[in-house]
Amino acid sequence: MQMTSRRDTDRVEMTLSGRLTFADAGQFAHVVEQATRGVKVCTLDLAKLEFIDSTGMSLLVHIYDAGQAGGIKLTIRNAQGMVADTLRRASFDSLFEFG
Amino acid sequence: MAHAVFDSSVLSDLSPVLDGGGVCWLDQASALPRPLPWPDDTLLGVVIATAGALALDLAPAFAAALVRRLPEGAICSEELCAALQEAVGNAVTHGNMGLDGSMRASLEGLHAYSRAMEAAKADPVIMGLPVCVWAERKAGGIAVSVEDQGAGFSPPSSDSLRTPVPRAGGGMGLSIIARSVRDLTFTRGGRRVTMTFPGSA
Repeated sequence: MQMTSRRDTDRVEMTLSGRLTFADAGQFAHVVEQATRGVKVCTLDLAKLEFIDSTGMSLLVHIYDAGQAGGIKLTIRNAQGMVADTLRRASFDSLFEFG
Repeated sequence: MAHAVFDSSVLSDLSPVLDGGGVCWLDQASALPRPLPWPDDTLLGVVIATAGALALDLAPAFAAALVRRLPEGAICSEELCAALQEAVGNAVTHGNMGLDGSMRASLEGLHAYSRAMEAAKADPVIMGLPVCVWAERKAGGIAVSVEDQGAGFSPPSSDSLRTPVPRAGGGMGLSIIARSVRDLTFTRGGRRVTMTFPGSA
């Protein structure tokens, strides 16, 4: 998985690309901090995310939990194909706003 | 049965290896289980080092190679790939690396999990432990097994696996497997999971 982030005052846009899997779990704590520390709005752009497994989904749950604790507005946008299907089947649309 | 060898430590993509026409593949970077776990009529088998299973995308490569060996439409490749990804992930992280997924239930635990994962990745013995994946024909379907060398675990009841709930501390993977397969069995104290997929093979 590759991650880039763009921060504008209290907003951050994170772009996740490639495959988000168990092999990336060592980076998750860093990603959660990047997505939620000192922000009020976090947008996750998944347009280039090709695959997600259950460990990858747990990263999104952590971001959701941190967002809830910090009053952060969270949006997932541009999820495609398998990633969009998997997230909806696992009820992630009940956690995040999908754009 | 003839076996071919490869070296996961020098590869960036496993697909060309598994597409190479061999049936059973042994990773030179891995300790080898004795005896090898698969039967003589295995359709496709791989022993790969834990480090290789972390660095390479084993599940999609294995699924694609298996699908190509079967009659068209014999198995749903998407369900196979999704379930196999979860089984391989469990074998690597919870099995061979001994990482407890419930550690990830909190952000503090997630930091500890990250540290434990990095420590395991720095241990050459752990990184050389084998993960075995193989496929064989069963009545009315294809069985794919994944075996690790970890401490094993007590699988939850099948009823509790049917409804995946988003959560950080693990458990979603087994639900994804259960939803994708016709039959799911755990043997060898939880070190071996066998997933039977419906199919016409």
